[in-house]
Amino acid sequence: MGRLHAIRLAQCLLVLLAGCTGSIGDSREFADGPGVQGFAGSSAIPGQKVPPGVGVLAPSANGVAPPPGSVTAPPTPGKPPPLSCKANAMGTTPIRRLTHAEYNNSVADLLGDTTRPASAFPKDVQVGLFDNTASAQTVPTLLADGYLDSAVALATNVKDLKALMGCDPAGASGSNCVRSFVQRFGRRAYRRPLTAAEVTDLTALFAETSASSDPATGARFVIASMLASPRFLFRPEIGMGASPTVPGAQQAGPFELAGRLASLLWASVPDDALLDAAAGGQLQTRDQVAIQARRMLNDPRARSAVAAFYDQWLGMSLLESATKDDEMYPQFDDTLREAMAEETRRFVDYVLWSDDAKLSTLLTASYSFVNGPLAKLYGVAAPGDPESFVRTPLDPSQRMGLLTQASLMTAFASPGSSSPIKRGKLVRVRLLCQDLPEPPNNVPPPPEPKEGLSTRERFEMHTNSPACSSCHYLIDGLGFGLEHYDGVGAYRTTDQRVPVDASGEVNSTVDADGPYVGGPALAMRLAGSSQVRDCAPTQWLRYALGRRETDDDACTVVALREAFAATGGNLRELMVALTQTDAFFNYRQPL
Amino acid sequence: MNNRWMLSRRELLRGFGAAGLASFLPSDLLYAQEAIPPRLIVVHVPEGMWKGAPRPSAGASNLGNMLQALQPHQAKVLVLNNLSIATMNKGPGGDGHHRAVPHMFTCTEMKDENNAGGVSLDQHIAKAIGGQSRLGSLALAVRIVYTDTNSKCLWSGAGRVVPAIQSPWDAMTKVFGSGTPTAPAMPSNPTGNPAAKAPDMRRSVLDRALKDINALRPQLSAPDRLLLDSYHDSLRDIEMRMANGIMPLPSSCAAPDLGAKINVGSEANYPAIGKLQMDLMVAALQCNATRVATLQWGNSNDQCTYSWLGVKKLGHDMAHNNNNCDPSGSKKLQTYTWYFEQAAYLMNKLASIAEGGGSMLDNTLILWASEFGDSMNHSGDNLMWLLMGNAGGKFKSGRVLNCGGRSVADLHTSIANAFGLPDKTFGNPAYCKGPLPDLTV
Repeated sequence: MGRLHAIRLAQCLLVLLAGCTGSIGDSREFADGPGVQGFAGSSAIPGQKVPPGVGVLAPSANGVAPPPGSVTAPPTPGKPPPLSCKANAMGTTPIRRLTHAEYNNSVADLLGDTTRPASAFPKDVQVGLFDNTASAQTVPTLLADGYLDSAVALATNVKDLKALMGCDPAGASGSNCVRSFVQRFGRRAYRRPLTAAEVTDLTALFAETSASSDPATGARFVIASMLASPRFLFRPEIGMGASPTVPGAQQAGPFELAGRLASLLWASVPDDALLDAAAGGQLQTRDQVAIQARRMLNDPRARSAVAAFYDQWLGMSLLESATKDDEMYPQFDDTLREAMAEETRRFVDYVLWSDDAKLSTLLTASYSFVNGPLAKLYGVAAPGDPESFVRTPLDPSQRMGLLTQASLMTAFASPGSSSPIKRGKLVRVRLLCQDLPEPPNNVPPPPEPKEGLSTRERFEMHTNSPACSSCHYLIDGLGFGLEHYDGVGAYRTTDQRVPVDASGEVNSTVDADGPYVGGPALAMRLAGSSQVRDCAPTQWLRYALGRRETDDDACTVVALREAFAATGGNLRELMVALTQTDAFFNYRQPL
Repeated sequence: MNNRWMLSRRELLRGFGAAGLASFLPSDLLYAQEAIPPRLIVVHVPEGMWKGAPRPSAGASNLGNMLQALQPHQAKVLVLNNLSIATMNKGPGGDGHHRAVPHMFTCTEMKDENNAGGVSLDQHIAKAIGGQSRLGSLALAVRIVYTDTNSKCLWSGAGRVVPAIQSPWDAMTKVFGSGTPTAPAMPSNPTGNPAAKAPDMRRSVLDRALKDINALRPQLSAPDRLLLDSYHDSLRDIEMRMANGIMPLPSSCAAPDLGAKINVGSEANYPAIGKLQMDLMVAALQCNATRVATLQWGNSNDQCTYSWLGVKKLGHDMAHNNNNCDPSGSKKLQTYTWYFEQAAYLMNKLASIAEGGGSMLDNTLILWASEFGDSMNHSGDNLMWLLMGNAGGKFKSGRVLNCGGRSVADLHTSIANAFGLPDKTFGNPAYCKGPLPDLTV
């Protein structure tokens, strides 16, 4: 089989490189939305600098699409070769702007204001799978306007200034009160102790404004100023002394580590305990950081912060916008849509925090969380209260884990049918971390849906020609296995009156290759694969770094994968492992 | 530029001696001292057109079936056939959708595959004519599903995306405040006497944010500064508008009644949200709250199924005839026709507002644009774009032209010239031949 893979992958690429006038069927369905771009086959194009351990469709594409005509060597097909940590290096550490979620959480932690003002900010740009890519975190006028409005509103809406400040700004020693408040509040907001000049400056602001109005107003000015300061809205880092482990890099300072921990694990600002640890020299060794990470993971704030990653990794926003043909799927409405999203949220949360937190459990658990509408869709007994979600065992011959849940099967489908291509791509890109080349431009259509011709048969007819099959070989074998789930994730045994054929074949992977039948079998195959186990930490790293990994990140990636493997794929421990890497402990200035 | 007008208005206000009186100024008084300002509207419709779409041909005497809704305004419509996005396949970028959208109004190579490489036409013109308005430009959108470059057609510069407001209710707040007319803000404490006026918290917050940016900037690397600078420049833009004095909204202009909030993300509400955004846009322009407005319908890689038309196929699938879902093109034609009906709604709205000797439509230019000339192939050639209205009589309207494959950059140059900019080219000059011939008066 190995040789065949090689030939087919080479064909796929050659066809694309040649401008691909061949018929690569329905390839626009590659596009399941944002995420296509940025993965544009950059690692798949030979003659480019390829990160270590990166094969033709391997993970770790970094980069910029090659200029046209830059192809200099024939494709190097094959499975992703193993990644190795050779020279101690690390990628750069770009400045990060608060995501909107971080903004909301931060003001909740700082002020107790839970109005989530960032919900009114313009949506952040999505790059790849994630919306927190550092290079895209500009501040357009509309956002700057939002920052100003929000800072003023938040400061104005503080109900009990004395309680927030711990003293009375209108009292006899008002300016001492403000000084101590600025030091305490500012340390959390800026994630470091304020400099003497900053404290003096903010105290002076209080003095000026309270003189022209009143002390309470003065205090509000101070609060608002800090909330719109780039020192709050961004996490500027500069490092501190040469790194003992990574040549050419700096160590991250203790307060920088505190800021990174709070961002990664809470999507918020640090608490005083973390900042005290940083101030007291207790945030220096990897063990000390791990202790803090574990403490923070036990805090409820970690749950929503971590959940946001899974939302984006799995493409749950595609469920939010999915529109279905109401004649094909009359049962699909916003209530069912929301139930699907809630099921997956609850399921991920439960696996991570109440079950064994294993990636394999996420992929193969034989239970899920079902309310009335979902019970109907899944054909299981409804809970007594149809609105409540109840942990429910599901028939393991039909459903196992995330991939077979209605949310994903609905999000990765067409309005009026399933979509083996969108689903194949979901597995290839999101779970196996293998990027696909851009679909070509000129594609003749596959046959129209009709009774007596299953979705699978239509796509098979369409992609049978060698030119099509060379690329679809990478996609269809993953998507066909999910054909038992229709466009809204209901289990079916026939499609257009033809019995469902859910046989598939995984190919071009490190160790998941082979034939299988149906979603649960695919889930089992993926759950046992080291490539899937290596992909989860890679996706997490991208999310944590706010950028794609580069060849310089090999040591961090390898360390993370090894740590994850050593815990048997424990996703909670992965969060701790993320805080133990070279990338986490050091700072390398972007050039 | 309208400095003369602005200054005299300020003097006028000072003469009244009370800022609050400004809200009672009739709009006639505001416009009395100079010509009515020209406005620009840019409309983006997703997925372009199928090669076989029945476009009116050059020299045609009427606009034909597809554009029928615009027929009553034919004299004010200029159909531009056979334009091309000349830069589309130059430089970095992803697939056709991810390239065409960031290229179509910037006309230069992308900075990288996620960012346009230059300023878009609307922002370019807004920088020149928007300085005196409450908002430099007003970017509105209807149900953007993909928030990557599929939907990013507006850029204030290389790598600086301009987001669009998707909720008419949020946009209402930006334009009209929270429902009450805003008094013009005079420069805070001009005398330096703190007792003279209650301090302005927003102003103070802005000043200090700028100060902090300037202090922080030297510590950062060049790539990090790019992000900080974007915050800086945005604050400066807001500051400039504050310093100029926020324009009062004339008493004659009323905020439109948007009704109760509805879900802006729901496809079923797409037509309703679109109408509300157009209502709001026209009100904002009428009130001179801005002079440049944009409306994006969805995004390229169109995720709308046009269920209210009974189409029920993704716009993107139809554009490519995926699954053979629209072999005859009849469903696509339904959606094109619908979008032209929306354009007609906008024209009707503008035409219904008397202004000067004519209507607001006469003083406005609408650029109607869509990214593909052949959506099957992601082709940025053979585009059909429209100009509607006249920017004060600048364009030779009422015609159907064949632009002979000229770049949209050439069209953008013509438009910039019509708004008083002396540009010889637009975007990367290597791909721009200068203004289109025979377009303007």
